[in-house]
Amino acid sequence: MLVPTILGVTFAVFIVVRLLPGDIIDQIISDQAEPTPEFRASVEERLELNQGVPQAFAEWLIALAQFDFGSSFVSGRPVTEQLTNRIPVTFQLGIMAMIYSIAIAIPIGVLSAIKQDSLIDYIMRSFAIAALAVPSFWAGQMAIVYGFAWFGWTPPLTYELFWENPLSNLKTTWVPAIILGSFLSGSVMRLTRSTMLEVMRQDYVRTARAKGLTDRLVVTRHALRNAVLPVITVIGLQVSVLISGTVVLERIFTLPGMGTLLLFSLERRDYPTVQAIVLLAAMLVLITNLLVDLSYAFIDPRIRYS
Amino acid sequence: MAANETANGPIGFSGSSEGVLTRALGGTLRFIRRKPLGAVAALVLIALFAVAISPSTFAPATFDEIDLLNRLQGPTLDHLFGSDKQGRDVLSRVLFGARTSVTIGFAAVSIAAVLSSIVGISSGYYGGKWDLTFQRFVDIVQAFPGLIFIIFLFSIFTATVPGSLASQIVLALTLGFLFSAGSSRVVRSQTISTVQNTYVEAARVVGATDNRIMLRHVFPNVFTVIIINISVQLGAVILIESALSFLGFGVQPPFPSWGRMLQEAQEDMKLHPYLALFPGLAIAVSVYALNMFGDALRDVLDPRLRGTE
Repeated sequence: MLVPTILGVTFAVFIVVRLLPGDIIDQIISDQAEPTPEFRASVEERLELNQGVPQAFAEWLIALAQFDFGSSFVSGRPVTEQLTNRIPVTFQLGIMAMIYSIAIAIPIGVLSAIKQDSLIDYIMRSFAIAALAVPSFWAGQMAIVYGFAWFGWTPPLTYELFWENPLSNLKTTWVPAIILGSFLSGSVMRLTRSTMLEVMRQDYVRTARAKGLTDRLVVTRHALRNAVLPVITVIGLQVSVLISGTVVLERIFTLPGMGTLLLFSLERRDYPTVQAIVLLAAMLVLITNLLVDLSYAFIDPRIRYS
Repeated sequence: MAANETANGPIGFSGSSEGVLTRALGGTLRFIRRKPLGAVAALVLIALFAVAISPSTFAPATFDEIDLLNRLQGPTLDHLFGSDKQGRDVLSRVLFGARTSVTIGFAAVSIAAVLSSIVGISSGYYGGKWDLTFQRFVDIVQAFPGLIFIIFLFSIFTATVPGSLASQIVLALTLGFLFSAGSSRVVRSQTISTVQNTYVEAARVVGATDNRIMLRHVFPNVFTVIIINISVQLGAVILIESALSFLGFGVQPPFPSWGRMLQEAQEDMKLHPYLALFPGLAIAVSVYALNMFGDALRDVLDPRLRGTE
């Protein structure tokens, strides 16, 4: 199942990057006063762009199998080396956003379901829909504008890795992480509420109540455990949304992550770098989907034993 | 059963024109009573569509009227939402931006609806190799993070046909394509459960062709799902369109779009917050209303949710 999809994805990435209008050679040549065909050929030769597409694709695949992403057209450095600086930034932002979103969404969703149609429920539901309606890049802009106007706060321009200077790192990342997390929490909150409502009507919940368990036990042990399955699916599906979100928020808060690098490399038509980032993103989505499927077995014993 | 079905929603298929009218009115009144929030959202949407259809009736100026003497004015009586770096009226640009967003939104979800119905119904109906091929293809499309996927497609196509209007058409096409992948899954699963009904078998026994069964028996049954997809996706399309325009991969000037206005505001927004405030509010309010209405519509239409309130 996974293998043909991965092959399809690699092929799609490779072709799509080459379909982009213009290439790096045009940009290198445009610096030249009088570009000669010989010069063009020499650049083509150096970047190995003079091969046919099938041959280039085959070579790229073989290199990929050895975890070699090639060298950047722009800096000439290995893509892997560039990525090792960028990946932690994006991953940290993504993971912080996800933890924040789950930490607020599931308790609020459960609360909203238990107190169905109460004032709290209405407020929380409106909040969830609002979280889905506010574009995260605009929320970032508003944080910068009004954070400055009201609190004199500006996002720090320097970025330090978490393990080098945790405090300075968190100062830079907490605002974008909360913005992204709030956006993600909307759909998780809504789904938690609706599945909880469904589960709370089941017979085994009534049985649990009838045998005298406390509300707390009924909700956590019997209801939530059964309601959480579709919620996990949605959290898994959100990885794709999360990646799109980090691209935009990195731009707003000038974080040196993969999204910033992707936009930069895309502009320069730096094929190896763009291919590597898009492929990594796609793989991440596919792998989380697989993990989600596998996690069902851990949570739901019926699947484990069948 | 059939009468009961149509009475539940504002969609009437049969009866005299007067019957349809009263039934539609009854359906609307019932909708307002059952879903007051949905009705409020519907009012906001009617206003949004009115502005989108004819922005010039509501806007005090045109979107590209440059007035260099009144640059970067805060909100005043002359310019309720202020004026931008070139002295253009922000309110007018927001109103004209509504047209851009709504047009692209509707075009994209219509394309997605048509594509996903064709792919989803045929895939679920025929099954087998046909289905498998389509599903792998959908897997590949969905593996790409949406924003990156569109940035690629958009860059490829806009170079061949540059221009403001062309950029909007390309956006609608690419967004429609992207969104059809996800909704084809929903249509497919609904088709699979419909095909198992005995009346489909009966139709086949009396000699109905595959095309006839798909059109006359399966399509009406998945229609609700398609309508729900449309209403849920409209807001999402408007959001992603604004993000793309913000990054520079969306609507090109001169036509204003909310995302692009926010990008232009980026430079001056610290001293002139209103430049970023109003276009963003327009996005948030529109998407909020669309989601609210979509939710209410789904509760009323979705056969699985009917009666669970």
